[in-house]
Amino acid sequence: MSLTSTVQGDAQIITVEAERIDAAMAIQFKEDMRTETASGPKRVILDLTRVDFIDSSGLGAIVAAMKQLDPGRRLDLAGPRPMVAKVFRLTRMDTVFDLYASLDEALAAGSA
Amino acid sequence: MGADTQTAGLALRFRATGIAARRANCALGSWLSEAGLPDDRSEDIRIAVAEAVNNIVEHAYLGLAPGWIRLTGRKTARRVEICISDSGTPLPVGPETEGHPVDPHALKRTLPEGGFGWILIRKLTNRVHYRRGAGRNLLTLHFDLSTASQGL
Repeated sequence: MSLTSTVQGDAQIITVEAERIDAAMAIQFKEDMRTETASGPKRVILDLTRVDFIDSSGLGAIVAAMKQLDPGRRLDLAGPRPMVAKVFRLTRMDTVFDLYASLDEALAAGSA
Repeated sequence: MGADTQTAGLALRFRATGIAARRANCALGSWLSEAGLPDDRSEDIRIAVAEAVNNIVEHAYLGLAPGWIRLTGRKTARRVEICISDSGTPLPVGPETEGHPVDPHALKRTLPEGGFGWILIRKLTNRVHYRRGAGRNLLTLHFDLSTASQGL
């Protein structure tokens, strides 16, 4: 399992416990996300703090993870490193997801 | 490794599988930092090369047993040049592979889950050259070191 999950307040925090979300693990990631988000709070925050490399397959897997959420639930992203943020920016995925600089920031935005 | 000159080349040969591609990308990263590239430019190159290699794994060798990929790198004061060759089927390269930027107004449920690879390659390289010959694909990615890419 590449992920760990906790619930804090009204958000589910899913932490990626891998340094890479790449083609070699994209399918596993998508399946793990499906398992973790089978039920839970309306808001899901994906903590990317540990991830130092993502490719287009990994990006596709995060999009897939968002699309497989039940209607009414949302996926926000927290703690992307500069490299990860760059990939989101270049593909304009930063316009699709809410990206927060840190998990704390993401949580603060939710309780505001 | 550990050549006595900072411009020693990189030469890798690996199976066209996701895991082998990952290892090769890490080796590329080590070579780039040994060559003294700043982290952000090194990231650009690693991302673009990862996408090019993914295309080979997923398209050139589609339906075939995973073949070999050869990757060589050369650095001069002005640029880094990465050549990637394989003996799979011709790579889909050209205007039709430009990739489509995400439409931010599209419904989330209709977002594409793929097709981002060529967007990244185009934006992070200064020049891409593709040649097909003798049953091989030869893709060369040029990264100028004097100019910033769009990714910076």
